[in-house]
Amino acid sequence: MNTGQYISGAGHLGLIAYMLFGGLFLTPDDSPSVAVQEVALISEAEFAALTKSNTAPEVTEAAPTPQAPQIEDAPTPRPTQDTPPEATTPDVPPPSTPDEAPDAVPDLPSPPQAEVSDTPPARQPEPELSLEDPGAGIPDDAPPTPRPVPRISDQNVTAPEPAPQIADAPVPDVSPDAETPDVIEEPVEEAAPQETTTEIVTEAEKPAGLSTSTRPKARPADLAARAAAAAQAAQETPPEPAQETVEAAQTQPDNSAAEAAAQAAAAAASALAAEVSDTPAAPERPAGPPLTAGEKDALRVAVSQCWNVGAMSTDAMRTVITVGVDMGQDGKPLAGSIRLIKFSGGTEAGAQAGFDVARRAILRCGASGFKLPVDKYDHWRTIEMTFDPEQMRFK
Amino acid sequence: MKRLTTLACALAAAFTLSAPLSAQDTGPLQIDITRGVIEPLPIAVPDFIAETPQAAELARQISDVIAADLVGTGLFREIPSSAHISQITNFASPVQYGDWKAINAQGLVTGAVNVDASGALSVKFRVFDIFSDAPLGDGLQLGGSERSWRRIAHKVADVVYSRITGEGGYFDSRVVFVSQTGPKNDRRKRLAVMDYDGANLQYLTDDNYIVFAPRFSPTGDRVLYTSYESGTPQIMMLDVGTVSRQRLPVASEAVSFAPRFSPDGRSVVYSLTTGANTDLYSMDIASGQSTRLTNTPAIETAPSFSPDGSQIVFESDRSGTQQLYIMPASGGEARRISNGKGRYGTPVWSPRGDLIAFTKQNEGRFHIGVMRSDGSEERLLTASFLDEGPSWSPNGRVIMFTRESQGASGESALYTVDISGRNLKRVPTDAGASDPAWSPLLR
Repeated sequence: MNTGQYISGAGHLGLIAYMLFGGLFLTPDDSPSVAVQEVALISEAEFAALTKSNTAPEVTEAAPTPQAPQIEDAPTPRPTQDTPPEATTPDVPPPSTPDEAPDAVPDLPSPPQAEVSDTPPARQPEPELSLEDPGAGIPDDAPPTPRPVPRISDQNVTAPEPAPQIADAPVPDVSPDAETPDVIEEPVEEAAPQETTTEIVTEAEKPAGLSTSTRPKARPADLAARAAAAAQAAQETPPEPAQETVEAAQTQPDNSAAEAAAQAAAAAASALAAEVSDTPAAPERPAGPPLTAGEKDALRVAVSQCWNVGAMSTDAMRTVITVGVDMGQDGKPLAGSIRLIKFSGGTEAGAQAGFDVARRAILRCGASGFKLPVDKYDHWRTIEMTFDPEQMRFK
Repeated sequence: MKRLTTLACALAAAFTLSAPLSAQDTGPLQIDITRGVIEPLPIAVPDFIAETPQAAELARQISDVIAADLVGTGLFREIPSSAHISQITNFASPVQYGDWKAINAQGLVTGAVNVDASGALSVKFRVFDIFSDAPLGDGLQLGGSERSWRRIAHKVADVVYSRITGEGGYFDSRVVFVSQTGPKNDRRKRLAVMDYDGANLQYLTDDNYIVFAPRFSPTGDRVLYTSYESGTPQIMMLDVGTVSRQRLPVASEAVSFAPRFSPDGRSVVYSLTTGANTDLYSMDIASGQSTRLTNTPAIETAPSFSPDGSQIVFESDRSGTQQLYIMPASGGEARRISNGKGRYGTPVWSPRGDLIAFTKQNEGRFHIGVMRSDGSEERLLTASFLDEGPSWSPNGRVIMFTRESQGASGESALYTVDISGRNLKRVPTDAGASDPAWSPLLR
């Protein structure tokens, strides 16, 4: 029992001793809380000073909106930068400062607190700068005030730049679609791009087929000779396409199969050669690549701009007509060659009225010559234009 | 199997060879043109040449009327004479196409006027398609009295219009209408007739009785209208030449109105109200015999024949609201053709037979519109406080109607509009005007 009492008494004594003397050793731990209070006292003085300094901006609270124009006036008397920015600054500040001035008024009390805690004495003597801060205070905290003004002017200078970029937009629209941008760029026509872009899409497939077919153009002569040769030596030496088929099939290169393939190919080739030889235009077949989609669109747009359906009869507006025209190498239509090839959907009178309008369009816009590539003249020596007024009909 | 396989391969090879060849054999360059422009056609109408000194003034006036007719359609734009490079001094001398191309004239009208000692007027003219370097048709010569110079000018304009557009003109025509004077609560109404452009106004009746809804006969020599002369609305027929009128033989106690001639001019279709019911009737003018065409408890009125005389379009509220119906000219089953919102009335069949013009009332606005005879492709051409009573031009291209402005001082006037919805114009009249009916082309 005694031992227990001893232990208890020693513990209590130790506790009492800790209570009495332990504070001497623990005072440094408690000191920060006291120090905080001291700082708080100091900060009150600072707050007093700050409130004095804040009163200056508070005065501006009553007149942020009226002073906003004054601030505009302030930069104008300002020194050397006035002459270039004057033209721009009066325009920009009015939208910016009045909008931001009301925002700055509620912000004024709080931002100074945060800023003053960092550098209170340095900013107190600058009440005017604090006024300008709301104008440029949002992007930067404490940059020198003259900077935001040239920044605004820079924005004005950069603003007109995108405008010409927009104006250039239609040109790239045409060029990527067309295979040859040069042709489309030549006619500087504003209304053209819309139609060319839409039309190019629809006809993009056709030129693709034609471009692949242009390669064999040199073949007709070869084909005739080849057909004759194939007819003679079809069995021994099968023509190239037959070899391709055999290779593609890869079944078994039997002589009988090769012979059959050779005969069939030779027969087809001879038939084609006969057709080619029958057509008198074979020797005049156009050489070189056909017109690109862009070139055709340029012609289409040129004629469309003169196809005035305003004075066309309602009967003619229901008639689709196809007009043939022979062209001179200078791109001018030969007036006497314009002819009505066929019509559909209307009466003969309507077709005649529509033909008159179409002829007028071809002659009027072709008076100075359509812009067509001379080296492809054989391709546009004769043109058949189909005029379909369906989309122009009032509905 | 091998043979078949190889044969198939050979055929495939043959087709692959033939495909580019067939594609290559394209022939002429093919261009599809689906978009054009809609703008007035520039024309030049230099003053006609006066072949005699006393024709100088007439020559200038005739040229002005021709130009006004053409420009008034909205389809043409006149190039002022101050812009002309080449002067027409001799009717027979060749035209300098290059000079007219330079000012972008696409049509050219030249002419000469001659007035002889007896006062006989003769006008000869030519039309040229400048960019074709050729005349449009042969030259024509028209003759008449000096007093009829306006009609001759209109006829010249009709020919020019027809040759350039490919459809008939409508300038040599007249319009019968109700002339209105006085305030709205005391309107004085009388029948009047004038040229389509408002000239040569003549009154056909006095303003003692209310008259309304006049209709020209197919030949333009008679006018049907409804008059309160007897106290109740009665249909009257007036001879334009003699200005004599007679009442149609309808029961005098019945209310008859909304008459319209058949295309052959031998019969009249009209509305007759007996009790509270209004139905359509047809009357043979020669015999005076009437035939009932409809027999419903609803109100049927505003009948109008198709140009071939086989059908009648009319308005009826048999479905609960006022709608348009078509039935055979001899009566019978009617089918409704109007299906849009609102109420439809006063249908009129186009002289060309393709369209039906009507008045539509919807959401407090009135419209003049057209639809195909099967009710499709409905298009509203106008919108205003009050538009009503459409009437077709002789060529079926223009519609004349009544437009009344709002308010106590509101006045009614005649307007024309192209069936495209463009070229809305007021017809010049001295006083208020309503209920227009366009005549056929005069002869």
